[in-house]
Amino acid sequence: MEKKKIRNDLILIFVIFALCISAIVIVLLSHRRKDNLVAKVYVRNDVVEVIDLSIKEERLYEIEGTEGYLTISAKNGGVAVIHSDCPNQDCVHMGYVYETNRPIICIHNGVYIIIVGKAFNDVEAG
Amino acid sequence: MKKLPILFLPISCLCACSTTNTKLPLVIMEYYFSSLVEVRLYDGSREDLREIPSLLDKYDQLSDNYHQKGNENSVYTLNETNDEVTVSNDLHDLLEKALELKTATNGYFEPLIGKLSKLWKESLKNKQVLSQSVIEEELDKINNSELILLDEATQRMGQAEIDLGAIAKGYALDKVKEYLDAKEEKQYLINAGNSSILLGEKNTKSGLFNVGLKYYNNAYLSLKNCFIGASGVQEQGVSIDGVTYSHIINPFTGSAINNYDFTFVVGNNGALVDALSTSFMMMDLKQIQQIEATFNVYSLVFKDNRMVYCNENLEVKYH
Repeated sequence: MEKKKIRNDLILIFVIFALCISAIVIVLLSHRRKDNLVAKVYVRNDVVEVIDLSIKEERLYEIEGTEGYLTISAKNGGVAVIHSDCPNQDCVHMGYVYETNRPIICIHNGVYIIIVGKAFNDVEAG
Repeated sequence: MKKLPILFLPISCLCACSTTNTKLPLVIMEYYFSSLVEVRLYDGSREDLREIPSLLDKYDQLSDNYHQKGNENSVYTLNETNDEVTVSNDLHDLLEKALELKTATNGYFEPLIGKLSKLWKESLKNKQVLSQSVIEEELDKINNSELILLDEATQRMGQAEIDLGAIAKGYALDKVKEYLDAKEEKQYLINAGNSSILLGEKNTKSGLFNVGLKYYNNAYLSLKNCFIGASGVQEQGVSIDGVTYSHIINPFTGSAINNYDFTFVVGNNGALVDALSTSFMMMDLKQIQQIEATFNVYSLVFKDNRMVYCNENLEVKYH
C-alpha cells in the first residue's frame, strides 16, 4: 500500500515536471518564432509594406488599396486591419492574426496580408 | 582632441570545415578602421586568408587621423606638421586617390575636412550645434589649405587637417581585391563595418549574395562581384530639437544636416563607391544621376524612411 502511494507520488511529480518543461519549451519556441516573423502587405501583386512582428509596441500603417484606404495595426507579434474603406468589413472582423497560415484578405481593396518568416541575408549594409 | 581607441579584437577564428557535400567558408573577424571587419573566403586556403588582415591593418594605420599607429608616417603625422613629410608609396597613392576623388565628386568629398569634422563630433557629443562662427572659421582654413604631393615627400599646407575616413575602408578593399585576384580567388565576402563591402561570388549556383538594407525592413538586393558603399545618419546621427545632425559634413557650407537618411552605391571600385555614398548624402538627385552615368555606378537613396531614388539597374526585393 505504502509502495503504491510512493509510486503514485513519483508519477505525479514526473507528470508535473514534464508539463513544466513542455510549457517552457512551448513559450521559448513561440517567442523565438515570433522574433523571426514579418507581415507582408500586398496591393494586387506588389509588396507595399513589410512589417517586423518582433516589435511588441503597436504600430499603425496607412495603406492605399485599389478602392480606398486601410489602417493596419501590428503589435505583440500579430497583425490586424483595424479600419478599411470596404463595404463588408470582413478584413476588419478577422481581428489580430498571429499564424503564418491565416492571410487577411480585403478583396474590395485588392489587399492581401500574410505572415511569413524573415529570410536570411548574407550581409547587412547600413 | 578625443582619440578613438584602437581596437584589435581577434574575435575569431579560422574555421575550416569539410563535409562530404558542403564546404563552410573560412572566416576572420577583426577590428580595423574602428569597425568590425568580416572576411569570408568560400573556397580559399588559410594562408590566403591570413594575408588579408595585414593589408587592412596597413591602411588602417596609414589613414588614422586620431592616433599614430605603428612607426610609419601616416595621415596623423601629416596633420601634426606643415613640414614636408616622407611617406611610403602606399600612403602617397592613397593621398593621390583622395585628391582624385575630390575632383570626381565635384568637391563633395573633401580630404581636408578633418578639423571641422572633429569639431562637429565633439559638439554633437555634447548635444550642441557647432556655432556658425566656428564653421566659417574652419571653412576658411579648408579653403586656404592644400595637400601637396611631391615625388619624395608630402606636405600639408595650412591649418586644415586631413581626414580620409570616407574612403579608407573602400580603398583598403580595393587592395584586398587586387590580392584576391592575384590568388585567383573568386568566392568571398569582405564586410568592413557594413558601410564598405566587397562581394565576389557566393558558393551557390547563382553566386549571388543577399545584401540586406539594415534600417529598411526586409529590403534586400541580390548582388555579386561588386563593391558597395553605404552611408547614413542612422548609426552616428544625433537629433537636436527635432533636427538630425550627421557625421557627414558638407565641405561647402560646413553643415552637418544631410539631404537624405541613407545612400547605397554599387560599383567596381571600393574607394569610389565609398566617396560617392558620402557625397550623395549632400547632393540633389540630378547631381547623383549625373555622377552615376559618369562613373557607371548604381545607387539607392532613402529619405524619411522611404526610397526616393533607385537606379534602374538595381532591384530592391523584400523577404
